[in-house]
Order: sequence, then C-alpha cells, then structure tokens
Amino acid sequence: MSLTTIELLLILGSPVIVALALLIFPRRLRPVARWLAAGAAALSLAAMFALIPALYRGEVPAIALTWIPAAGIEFDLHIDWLTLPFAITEGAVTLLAIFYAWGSEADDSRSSYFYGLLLLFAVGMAGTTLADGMVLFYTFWELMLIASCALILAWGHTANGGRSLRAVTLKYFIFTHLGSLLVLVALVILYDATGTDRFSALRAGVSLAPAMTTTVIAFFLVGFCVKMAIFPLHLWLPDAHTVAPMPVTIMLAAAMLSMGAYGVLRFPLSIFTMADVQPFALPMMILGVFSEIYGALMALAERDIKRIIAYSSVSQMGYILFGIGTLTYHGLAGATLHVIYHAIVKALLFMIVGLIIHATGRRHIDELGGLARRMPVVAACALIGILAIAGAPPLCVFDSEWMIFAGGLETPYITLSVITAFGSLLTVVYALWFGSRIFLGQDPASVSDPVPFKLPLAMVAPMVLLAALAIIEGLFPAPLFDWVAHELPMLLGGNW
Amino acid sequence: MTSGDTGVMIPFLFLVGGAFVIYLVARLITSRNHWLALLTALIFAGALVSLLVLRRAPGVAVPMWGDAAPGGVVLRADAGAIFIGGIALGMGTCVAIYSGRYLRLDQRYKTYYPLLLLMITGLLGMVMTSDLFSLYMFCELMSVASYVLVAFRRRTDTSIEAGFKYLVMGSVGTITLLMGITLIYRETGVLTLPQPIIAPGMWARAGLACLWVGLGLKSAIVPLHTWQPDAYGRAPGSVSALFSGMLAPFYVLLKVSLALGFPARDLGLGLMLCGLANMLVGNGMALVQTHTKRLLAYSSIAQMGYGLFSVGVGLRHALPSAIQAGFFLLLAHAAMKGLAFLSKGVCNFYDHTTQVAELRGVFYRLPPVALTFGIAIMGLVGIPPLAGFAGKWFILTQVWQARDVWVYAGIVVFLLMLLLSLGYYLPMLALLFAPAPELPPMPVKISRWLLAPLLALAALVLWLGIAPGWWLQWAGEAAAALGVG
Amino acid sequence: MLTVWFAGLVLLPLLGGVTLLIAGRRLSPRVGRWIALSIAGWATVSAAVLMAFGEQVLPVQFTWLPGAGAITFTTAATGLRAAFATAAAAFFALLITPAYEAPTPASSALALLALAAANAAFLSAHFLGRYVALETVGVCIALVPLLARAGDVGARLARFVYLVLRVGDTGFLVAMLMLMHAADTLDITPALEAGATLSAPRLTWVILGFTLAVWVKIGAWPFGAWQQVGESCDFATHTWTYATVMPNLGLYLLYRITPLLAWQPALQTGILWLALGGMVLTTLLAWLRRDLRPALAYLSAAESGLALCLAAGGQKTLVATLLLVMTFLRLLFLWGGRAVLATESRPRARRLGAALIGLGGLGLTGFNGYFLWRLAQATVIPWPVWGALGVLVLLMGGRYGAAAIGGWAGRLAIPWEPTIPTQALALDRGLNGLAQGARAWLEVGLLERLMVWAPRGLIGLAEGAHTWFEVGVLERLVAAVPRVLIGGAARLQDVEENGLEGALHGTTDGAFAFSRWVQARHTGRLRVNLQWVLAALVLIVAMLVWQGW
Repeated sequence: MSLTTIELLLILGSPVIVALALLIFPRRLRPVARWLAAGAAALSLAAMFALIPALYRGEVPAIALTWIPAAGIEFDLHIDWLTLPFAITEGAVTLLAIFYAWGSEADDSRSSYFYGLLLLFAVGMAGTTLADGMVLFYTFWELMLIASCALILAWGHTANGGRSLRAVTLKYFIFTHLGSLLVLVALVILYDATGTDRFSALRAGVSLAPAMTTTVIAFFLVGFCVKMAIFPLHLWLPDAHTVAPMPVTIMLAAAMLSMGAYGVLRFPLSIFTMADVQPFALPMMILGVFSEIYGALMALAERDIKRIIAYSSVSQMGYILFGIGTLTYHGLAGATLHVIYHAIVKALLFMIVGLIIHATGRRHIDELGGLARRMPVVAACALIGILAIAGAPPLCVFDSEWMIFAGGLETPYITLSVITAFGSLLTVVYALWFGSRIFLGQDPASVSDPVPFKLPLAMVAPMVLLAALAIIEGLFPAPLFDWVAHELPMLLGGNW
Repeated sequence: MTSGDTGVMIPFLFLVGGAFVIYLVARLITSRNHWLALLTALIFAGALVSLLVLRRAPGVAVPMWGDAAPGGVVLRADAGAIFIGGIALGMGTCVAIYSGRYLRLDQRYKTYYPLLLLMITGLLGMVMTSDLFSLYMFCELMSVASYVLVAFRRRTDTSIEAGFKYLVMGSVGTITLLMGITLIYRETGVLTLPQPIIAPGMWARAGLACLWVGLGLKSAIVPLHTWQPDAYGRAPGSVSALFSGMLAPFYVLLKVSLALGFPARDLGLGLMLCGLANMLVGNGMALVQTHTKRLLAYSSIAQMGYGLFSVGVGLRHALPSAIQAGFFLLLAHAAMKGLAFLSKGVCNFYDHTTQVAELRGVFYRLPPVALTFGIAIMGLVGIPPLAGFAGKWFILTQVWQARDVWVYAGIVVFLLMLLLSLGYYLPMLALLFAPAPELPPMPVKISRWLLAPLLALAALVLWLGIAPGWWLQWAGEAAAALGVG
Repeated sequence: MLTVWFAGLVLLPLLGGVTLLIAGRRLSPRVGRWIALSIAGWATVSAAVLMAFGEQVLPVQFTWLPGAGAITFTTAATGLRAAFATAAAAFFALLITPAYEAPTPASSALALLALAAANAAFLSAHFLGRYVALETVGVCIALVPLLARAGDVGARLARFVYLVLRVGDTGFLVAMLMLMHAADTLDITPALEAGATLSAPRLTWVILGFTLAVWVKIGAWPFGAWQQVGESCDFATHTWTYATVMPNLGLYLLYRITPLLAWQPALQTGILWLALGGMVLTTLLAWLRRDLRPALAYLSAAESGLALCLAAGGQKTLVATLLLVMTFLRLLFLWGGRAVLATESRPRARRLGAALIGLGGLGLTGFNGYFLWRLAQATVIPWPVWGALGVLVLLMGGRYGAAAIGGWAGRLAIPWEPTIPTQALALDRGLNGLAQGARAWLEVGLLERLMVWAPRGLIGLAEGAHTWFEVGVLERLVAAVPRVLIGGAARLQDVEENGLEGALHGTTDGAFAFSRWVQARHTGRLRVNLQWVLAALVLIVAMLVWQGW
C-alpha cells in the first residue's frame, strides 16, 4: 500500500472512524469529542493537501475494491484535479465549522452525537467528490442529506412564528430527494449503457441515442440544480439554512451547495461532448441570471439576518451556474474558483451572523444597529466580507467574478452576460445594506454605555482567518488558478 | 407408491411434528412461554436448515418426494420453493424468539406456537406441491391458522372484527381458489402441474380467473387487498411480522399461471398494471393513516406493488434479471417490514403505543428499538446502503433494459411513488428521534428475547444492502425456476 | 530613476494615506492637513519630472491574475498631464482651504489614498490595473461620508455613492472584457484598437459600457447626484475628492474612447443628443435655483455634458484640454462659492470670491467658445445642435456672472442644511419596494403556495380515494339491487305468514339480525370489499375471453 493510497484512505477514513466512535461511545468520549472531531477533520484536510504533489506528478491516486461483482458495482475511490478544489473546500469548511462549533454549541450530553453527525456530514460530502463509482457516489450523496437532516432536526432552532423543525426538515428532505431521484435515473441509464458503474467506463466514452443523451443531461442538470438551490428549485434552502445550527449552516452553504456544481462538472460536462451539452448552455445561463437577481432581491427583502445570507447563497450559486453554462474556459474556471471563494466569504458571513446572534440574542435586522462600537473585530471582518461579496477588487470574489463575466461575453449571448454583470450590482446593494444596518447607525437597544462584547475565541478566530484568507486569496490567486487550470482538460473533450 | 428423496419431507416432519410436540409439551410439561418459544424457534431453525440442505446447483435434478403416478401428490423442492420457504422459516425463527416475551400480552401459548408452525407448514406445502388439490389443502391450512392468529387477541372488539373480516374475505378467496381448481379439472381432467392448456375453453378461462382472484386476494393485489390493513393492523405484532414474510400466494400465482400455459407476456402485463395500482393505492392510503400498523400494512401493499411491477416487466419482456430483482425486493421487504413490525411491537409492549403520534421520543425510552425501527424505515425509503436501496437499484437497472416506453412511464410512476412515500415514512422517522418532554425519558431495559430478533433482522437489512451478492444469486435461482426467458 | 518618481506619485500618497488613517484621531487636523499638503505637493513635482522623461514604459510591472497578463504602467503624455493636473489640484485645494473648513485626518487620508489610486489609474497601461485603481478611488470617495458623519445618514450616503460609482465601473468592466475577448490581451492601447474588429453588436456594447462609466464619473445628468454628497463636506474634500478626482478620471477615459465612438455613428449621435438634453436641463435648473450651491453643481454637470458633446464630435484633444481647464477653474468656482456663501467669511473674502467666480465664468465661457469653434471646424455636428450649444454656453456663462454679481453684493449667504440627495432616497425606496414586491408575489405568493398546495392536494386526493374505496360508487350502484330484493322479500313475508313459514321466518330473521349485527360493526365495508372480489372476478373472465387465452 503506497503512501498515496494511505493518504486517500485517510481523507474518508479518519472522519468515519472518529464519527462511528463518537456515535457508539457517546458518553465515554464526551470530554474529548470536540478535540477528536477537529483532529479528524484536520487529518482529512492534511491528507488532501498531501496528495497535491502526487497530482502534480500526473498520478491519479485511486483505490479499487470489488463490491457486488454480480451487478458490476465497484467500491472505487479516486482523487483527480476535478475533485481537488471541491474536496479541499469541503475539508477546510468542515474544520473551520468544527472550530466554530466549539464556541457556538453548548457542551452537553448530546455533544458526541453532534460532532459525530457533523463528521458524517463531512464524510458524505468528501465521499461524493472522491467516489469513482455510481452507486458509491449515490450512497455518499444520500449520506450528506441524512446527516444534515438529523443535525437540523435535533439541534435546529426555529424563529418565533416560523415553521416547526419537522416541517422544515421534511421539506428539505423531500425537495432534495426529488433531485436525487432524477440523478439516480440518469445514473441508471448510464449504468445500463456501460454495463458497469465505474466512472472510468464513463470517461472512456458512452454511446447513447441522441434523445437519451438529452434526457440524461437534462436529468443530471435538474437534479443537481436542486442541490445548488437554483431558482425555482431553491425553496428548501432559506428555511433549512435558517433553522439549522450555525456550524451546520456554514457547512450547508459553503460546501454542500457546491456539491451540486461538482455533480454538473463531473457528469454531464465530463462524459459528453461539447455538441451534446451545447443546447443546455443558454438555459443554464438564463437560470443562472434569474437565480442571481432573484436571490439578491430576496436577500434585500428579508429581515432575519440569517435568511438574508441564506438567500445570498442562492444568488451566488446563480453566478456559478452561469459560469458553467457559458461552456468557455474562462466561465468554467471562474465558476470553479467561485466555488472556493464563495465558500470563504459565505462561511465568513455566516460566522459573523452567528456571532451577532450569540452576542445580542437578536436576529431581526430592525432590532440591530450600531454594533461596530461593541464588536470592532467582527465589524472589521464584516467590512471585508461585504466588500468581498460585492466583488470589490482586490478581494477574492472579484477574481472569479471577472472570469465568469469574461466567459459570458465570449458566448453569443452578450445581452444576457451584460445583464449578469449589472445584476451583480444588486449583490452590492444588499451587501452594503446588510453591513451598514447592522454595524452602523444607532443601536435600538440604546445601551447607555456600550461595552464591547466578550466573544469566544473559538468563534472569532476562524472568522478572522477567513477574512485574512479572503484578502490573501484575492491578492495571490495564482496557486488556486493553477489547480483549476488543470481541471479544465477533463471537461468537454478538453480542447481549450 | 411414494418414492423419492425423503429429505424433502424432513422440513414438514419438523413443522407438523413440532406442532404436536409443542402442544403436548405445553399441556403436559410446562407452559412457560420461554421454553415454548425456544422450542418453536429450534423447530423452525431445524426446518430451515433441512430445507436449505435441499438446495441444488442449477442443472442438477430437483429433489422430489411423492407418488409419481397419475392422481398422486408430488412435493418438489425447487429453487423457488426453497427461496420462499426459506424466507418464511427465517422470519418464523425470529418471530418465535420474539414471541418468547411478546406473548406476555396474551397468554394462550399452547395454541399460539402450534398455529405458527401449522401456518408455515401450509405455506411450505403450497410452494412445494405440484398438485392443484394439495395446493388447496395447504392453502386452507395456512389460511385457517392465520385467521385464528389474526384474531388472537380475542378480548378486544377490534381484533374480533378484523379477524372476522379477514375470515370472510379469506374464505371467499379460498373458496374461489377451489372453484378455480375445480373448473380447471373439469377442463383438463388432470390435477398435477405442469399441464399447459393448449386450447382453453370457457371453463379453463373461468378457472384461471378464479385462481387469480383467490391467490390474488391472498397476496393482497389491488383491488383485493382490503383485508390486509385491518388484518395487519389488529393482529399481534409478531403475527404481522410473520405475514410480511409470507410470499407464497404470489409465488404460487406465478408458478401456476405459467404451469397452466398462460403466456408470460400477458401475465407480465397484468402484473405490471396491478403493480402500478398497488403502488398508487398503497402509498396514497398510507399518507392518511394515523395507526402505525395500518400504515405499515398499506406500505406493504405499496412495496408489493414495486415487486409486482418488476416481475411483470420481467415476464413481459423476457428479462429474468428483472424477475430476480423483484424477488430480491420482496426478500428485502420481508426483512425490513418484519423488522418494522417487531420494533413497533416492542414499543407497544412497553408503552402501549398504537398511533403514529405516540411514537414520539422512542429513542429516549427504548434506544435500540428506535435504531432498528429507524433502520427499517430508512431501508423502506430506499437510503443506501440499506436493503431497500439495493432492491430499488436492481429493479431500476434491470427494468430499464426493457426499452419500452410504457415501462419508462411505469418507472416514472415508480419514482413518484417513492417520493410520495417519503411523506409518511419521514415523519415517523423524525418522531422516533424527537424529544418528548412530557414523558420522563428513562431508558427501559429491553428483554433479550425481544432484542435479539430485532438485531438479527437489522443486521440482515444491512447485509442485504451492503453485500447483496449471495442473496441476489439466491433470488436469481428462484426466478430461473419459473422457467422464463 | 523612473521608479523613484513613480513611487513619489503612487507609493508615497498610499503610505501617507494609510498612516493618517491609522493615526486617526491622535493627530490634530492641522498636522494632518500639512502632511497631506506636502505629499500632494511632492506628487505634483513627481508628475512634472516624469513628464520630462517622455513616453516610456515604466519598469514597474507585476502579474496579479493569471490569464490577465502583466499589469504595466507608462508615462504617456496625456495621462501624465492629467495626473499632474489632478495632483496639483489636490495640493492647491489643501492650500487654499479656509481655516474653518480644515479636513479631518480621516478625510485627508482618504484623499491621499484616492490620489495614489488615481495616479495609478492615469498611468496604467493595463485595463485590469486601471479597473482596480478606479474601484479603489470609488471606495475612498464612498467612505468619506461614513467617516465624516457617523450614524445612519453617513451610512446611507456612503452606500449610495458607492453604488452609483459601481454602476459606472460595471459598464467599464463589461466593455473591458469584451475588448479582451477580441484582442486577447488587456493592454489598453492594443485592446482599444482591436475594437475595430468587433462585430456591430459587440462594439455597441463596448461603447455603451465605456460611455456609462464616463457618464457616471464626470457627473453629467442624470448621474450627478453622487457628487452632491460632497457638498456637506469640507472644502478640500468637496473640491478635490468629490469634484475633481473622479471627473478627471472620467474625462481621461472619455479622451481614450473618443476614437471608438467614431466607429458607431448611430451611437455617436445618440450620445450627442442625450448629452445635449442633459445640458439643457442642468442649465435651466442652474438658472431656476437661486441657491448658489446647487447652481454651481448644475453648471458643473452642464460642463460635463459639453465634454460629452465634444467627444461625440470626435474631438479628443479638446476633451483633454477641457480636463486641464476645468481642474483649474473648478478650484476658483468652488473656493469662490464657499467664500460667498459661508457665514463665517469676511466681507473682503466674499467679494474676492465673487470676483473669482465672475472671472472664472468669463474664462470658462471663452474656453467653451473656443471649443465650439473648433467643433464647428470639424463639421461633424449638425448646425442646430451647434447653435443650441452656443446658446447654452452663453447661458452658463451668464449664470456665473449673475452669481458673481449677487455674491459681490452680499446677497447670497443663506444657512444651508445638508440633505440626502433625492436620488438616493428614491433608489433606496425603489429597490426595497422591488425586493418586497418580488418576495410577496413570487416567493411567498406563488412558490410557497405551490409548495403548500402540492402536499395538500396529494393528501386531499388520498383522502378522497380513501372515502371512495370505503363508501364507494360501486356500493351505491350495487346497493340498489339488494334493497329491491329485500324489500320484495319483506312484502312476501308479510303475505305468507303461517306454519312452516314461521320456522323459516325465525331462521331468516336470525340471519338478517346477525348480518345487521355484523354490518353495525363494519359500517358496510366488508360488503364493499366482497363486491370488489366479485367485480374482479367478472373483469378477469371478461379480459381473458377478450384477450383470447
């Protein structure tokens, strides 16, 4: 067993083992649950980074085990350039969310279960990116859903007058499952065409009737768009994000939504040729623009600060879908980079929201104001987060946005791309409104002598780290660009 | 002159002899539930082992026992019989152990265990026999035993009502079956199978129709399913669980129809349509149920529909792998639904819960039961890597090969029904783990008799999902024994 | 050598601005002002020195975004002159600031940062570098009201300014990316030249994008509202940060894109007419508003409109000249305006201010006349337009004159309350209304209702099917038959009541009673279920016959 194989196993293995340990021995491991969870996540992330040199050498680290030979189903894991950005995003977000959870979640009898389920959620996401077989992919896909549902159901908070946790989770599950079933049908069709469930068979080329090709691509796209929360399939997102506990919301918004984008890149865009996918370019771009503008408008209309950022996710996923839909080098590279940058900024914004709720106990934007004096560090990070999401250079999101716009302008649909570019102004609007309403102005609680809040370090440190990352990534984007550039040859025949 | 492989008779000896032995033991030696349960379980296990021993590789002659002369009865232990019988005997073992504690609720042990054994005897005879009349006899044996078992809690009104309704419907079914057999006999003059009817006249048609109605009623095919929710709903949990594993009427329906020479294509179409009806009715009705066992009963009707659909496609388009997938799903369903009923029974045993809403917070009172119930429900929903997902995956992949637009339409309905079923499975699942502030959550120590079958079935559900290879092969042998494609 | 002077132009103001920002309240405004003054002065000198070097590519370059190319800087003539003028304006603005209107260290810091970025923009030879620099200037300008006036109002003004400037920059971005696609590079000169190879629709968008950017930056109507925010700030900030730096950047951009306009005559004409219309409106408003402050703002907007007309006429050198002229004259106008209007100024200062406004107005009219004469020589503009422009120029000059006269007489000092520009309020309300409307109609109205109706519909269907099965149509159909039979039988029984029939009575009664007892328990369901059995049987037989087995 070579070193790369061990590292590959570690990516999934360490969170799985720790998660199972925490779920089977909850009481015994309670005192160390948070450390174990963080350690497992850190180990997983480190393993991912350790595999990068192997990727640069041109290897594709993989593990192949037979599972159900009678049905041609295999247990294959592998990591390649397409997997890497998504896997690292997921690993980093998980680690930071776990650190954040140290401060935000109470240490009670259910802590072990919480961290265990969090790790299983992370395993689901990591496994989705690492899986090299259809059934394994689908298994991890469902694991993501179940773990997040369990977390929302058991640790969620409902706002007054909001829907009950059960209703929200049911809606989330059924909606997402609808998308999963569409993906399942498409997978079944591909399995039928190749006779095996390995992705390597898919990469070698699939011959389907033209009508079937269109059906498969359409099913994949709709199914993954549900996961990406593209308008009008986004309805599960606002409630689910709002009631979930903050670490789970961070993982949902920053990592899980991107899994939909991964699915689109891994399946339709890797298996089929440009000619097959071309008819879907315009619909994807239109949906992307719609999502972008609609999400921004809804963010502007909402008054619960968590919901505002949740709708912001809908908007940002619109950018990503638009970028993918352009089917150009700039568009696809920009979309993948946007996945990473969006993860940084979205996690940052949600952490800020969590700190505000933690400190003031209030969530309604009309009840907040003038917090800059009482939480200066948070305010500074918020400034960076807001400028970043508004696409101000030289912060990170600008780096990916300009590539997405450039990609759009290379297609024949110039007007649509111009609308996208100007639609991004709505993001500026709600971002600035959000920041200035909360941190500037008068505090409605009108405390006579505003003393700075004491905030747990475990919650503040990841936030500051993310703000720093947003600046650093913005200024020095070259390494990430390089990773993403390697992924492009794997898509749509690779003639870029 | 009876001759042949006496090994075929051994399971019957176990079961029938065992029934008498249990009764005598209960009357004369001890009427303690534990001993009787243990003995019954051993009898079931012995029968199972002796049945599995009869398994032969494909191509080797199937063990038979009986009088091969015309008018004689022959029992054949072919792959299908071993499959169906094996499922029932396995379920029986679990249920027997479970009853070791569960029957505390109703203490007429000495009638209960023999009835279980006799019911399974009838079932085993049904699938093994190749003679129509003995088919009727065994069916009647199975049915009568089941009538009593359903109405076992005779002190409750609802039990009696359910039992009575089941009795009437079931008797109508067996009488119709008898009518059918009579009509076939009138047409052909022969009672042994296989006897393909070349030019069927009116009698043969009527006979086959009666056969279908009779066996269809027993298998709970829509619109003959209406007895099932009441029967399952009011029977003791252990009995409902055992019913989930009784797939014989359906298998016999297939076998007899094909043996009488009815074209597989047409049979397949009928089964497909019935399957769709089952899916629609089962899922649709289950949505509005508030009584847990009735909900599970309707869910069984729906899952039966999935199996019917797959088998139907396999017959219509000559795809033995689709039949195999259908059988595998029914096997998986037996395990999952059995697990669900047994788990529900434990909740009833300790907390006297009957409604779905009362399942709230089971995790805090009876943690292992919540976990097993959760595994069962997740399996029924189709979450990988549990048994249900494997079943649905195999069905989808095999049925897809039919390349027929009507089959595709059926798949769409299939998937929509899967989605619909989430509407009643998920709330149950959520309730299990929801906190129940009214009850002080003090975990109750669960009896080992109740827990062991739960764990065994849960492990089976996981096994079927993660490593279904061997089970799939077994289902494939059963499908091949039908002789299609 | 070049690098050193470049550092003086860009790096020194950057460092100075950061230092002032960090030092903040610890410095007195006087010290802050003098630091800013000296740095601005040094920047002016650096610009002048660089002009002596002629057009060269500076040895400062770096690659920021892979795929975008290296960001380079040149000392091209016009850009450098614009930088020189802007830096000089900063110096003089800080120099002639009245004592009672000294800028806070924060304002000075932002001004220095804006200066650094503006100089980088003027000298940049790469579109991406220019874009980042323009964005940075925009951020600095927007932050001024935030740091100057804490509280809600400052925040709203800052948001508004940033948003409007971003609108312009988005146009710039779109145009820049389309040129990048055509030229495969982001270096400005080759990219602009590659514009000639673009198809008509693409070229239209490029021109529109750049024009939008220019329009916003120079503050021509209707994008001038952002400049109003500066009126409530101190003199240096208003004059330089709000009224000079961004308009100069805009005019320089206009200078660069004037050749592109010529490639789309239809657009050229459109821009001409729009600019003219804006000029008419703003000049009228300047005359209608007695208050000098808004009048000066409108006159400045009118002048920007004139710049656009010059560009539409293809006169890029005139645009450059206008840049230099206005930079200087603006200082006069705004200083004069302050002197005339401020209640703190002494009578001598007021009269000086009025005189400056008058002289400046005269000079501007002269320059405007010269511009129009050159424009006429090019004979690109239709005569009526030229005539209208002439009238407008005279009207503008007249307004300056009127202001001068009024100011001399001391009639113009009115206490003035800074307000939020109506455009800002309208934009806020409009966007909010749009968002709330979309939410109420689409999200909550349509989509959520669909989500609620779908499961409700399904459950309704299920319940309906439930009822139908249990108390079904079939039952009603078939129930009629037994009812007739039983009724008939009861009749017969009534008639034949003796002996043997009595015994029969008993059994029949018993049977019926039992049946009724059972029925009472089953609410008729069993009967229905059995009916289904019969129905199924009949159906199957019929099917078998029809199918032909």
